[in-house]
Amino acid sequence: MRQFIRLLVSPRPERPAPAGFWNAPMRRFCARALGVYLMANCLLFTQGCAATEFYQREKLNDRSMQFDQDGGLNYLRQKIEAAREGSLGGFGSAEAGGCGCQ
Amino acid sequence: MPVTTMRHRAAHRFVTIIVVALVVSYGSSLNAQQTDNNAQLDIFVFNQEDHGGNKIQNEDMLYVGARASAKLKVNNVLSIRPTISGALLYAGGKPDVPSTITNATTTSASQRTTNRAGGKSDYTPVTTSMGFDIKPIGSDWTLSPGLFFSWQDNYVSRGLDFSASVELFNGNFIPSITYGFRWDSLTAGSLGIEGIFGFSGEDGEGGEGGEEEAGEGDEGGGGGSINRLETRWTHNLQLGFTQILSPQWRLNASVQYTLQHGSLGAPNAVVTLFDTSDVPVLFANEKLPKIRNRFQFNTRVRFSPVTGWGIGADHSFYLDDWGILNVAIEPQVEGYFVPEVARWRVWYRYSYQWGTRFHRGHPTREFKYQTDDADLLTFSTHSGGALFYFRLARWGGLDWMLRVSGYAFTRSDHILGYGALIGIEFDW
Repeated sequence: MRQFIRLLVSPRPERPAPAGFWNAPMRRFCARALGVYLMANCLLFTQGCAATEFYQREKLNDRSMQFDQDGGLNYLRQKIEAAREGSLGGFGSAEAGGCGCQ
Repeated sequence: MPVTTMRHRAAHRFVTIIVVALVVSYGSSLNAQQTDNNAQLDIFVFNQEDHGGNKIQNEDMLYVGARASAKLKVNNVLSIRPTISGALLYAGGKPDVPSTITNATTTSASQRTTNRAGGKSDYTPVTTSMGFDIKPIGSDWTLSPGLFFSWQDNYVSRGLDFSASVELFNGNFIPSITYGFRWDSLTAGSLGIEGIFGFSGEDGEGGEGGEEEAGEGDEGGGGGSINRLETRWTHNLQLGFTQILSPQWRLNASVQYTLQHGSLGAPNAVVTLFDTSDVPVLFANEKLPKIRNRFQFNTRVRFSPVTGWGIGADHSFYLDDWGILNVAIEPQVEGYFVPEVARWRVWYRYSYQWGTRFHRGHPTREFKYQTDDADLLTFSTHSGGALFYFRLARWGGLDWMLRVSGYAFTRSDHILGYGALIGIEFDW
């Protein structure tokens, strides 16, 4: 655990600052926007969880609200992305990654 | 073996897989009850180009395949979820090895074996799984055991999965626990049919066993040697929940821990050593620890302002004891052109990965642990795609649907890829 905490707080190697569009003010703006966005997400957790009855779930039951609605595409993305990174989006499994095979 | 013969054999396997997939899809449809059933058949192609990354490692790849899956309600208690997929994988090309590297053709780290797949270039990966959903009558629990098997010439994986979830508060809160186990065998050459059982197969296609160079000390698990059978075990435990926040909001969060042990590198992966003038002079074997502890935290949010429209965002935070830290965010939007007939979904994903501490930059000597694996280094990824979904017709007692999807990614280390998928789906 101590190792993980050290990882979190230790400085990370910075990439050289690119010129042009992705300059320092732009990165600061994006960092702040990301912070606001994450805070907004955290607020979701503080919402009251009022019970939603079955007859109120028309929108929730629609295909557009499912977390994994396309098995074939998920499979392809896991093959391509999960085998190449430590994680994958919001639905990755930490089983793969970094070995080139899954 | 001549390359053309190998490709004919691979193509033959691929056609066989397609036929089996079709039979599984259609056969499943004949033996199920008349409700809550679904079958899908997808054909996909993906091309990856390597214009950077690790220059000694060529990650060019062409991946063409098909996948069939189904969800079948056997009775009021049991549903089954069979899947099978097969593909042709053309991996790598000749990497650009500097002529100053003196042992490029005489060690296990030879030029021919430094592509990612371990020296061979054509593969026919086949993956199949069978899941069961058991929900006793009158119970709010769902138990989901599963089996997993994946085979390709140099890599075999077998696994067991078990998941349990329960609906609480009228389904407003669904906690779940999932455990998965994988047992992998991998080698630089060919495992052959014996690989299914974890034995080393034929020795022919890896080739250079006589020129093998022993890893020094071999305290790490990744000291590569040609055609040596390597083994890896993976345990994955995931705890999560889905919460309905309101008639418009749905939230999912999960935390998972993965323990891997065994051989955790790629067979015959190499690290380049430099002299004091920063000239690459030697290849050394990649060496990685035999244990990896991995943690991941995910949240997923969906919001529907209008029926049929959904806005979502997925987030991921990943950390492991090799020093890799990865964060990702994936916003997405889904809607329709014509309600219930033509739908679309677009998504974008950004991730940033801080690389492992076992990457040594331009080392002049060997370390206990060392890697140049581009996938373990620092990079950012932009990816995105679109999915279009059309309800075609009701024919043969089935509702037929068509899916078309495009997908692409680009990494800051100049590895990029793009692909497409077309699939049919039918409900009955």
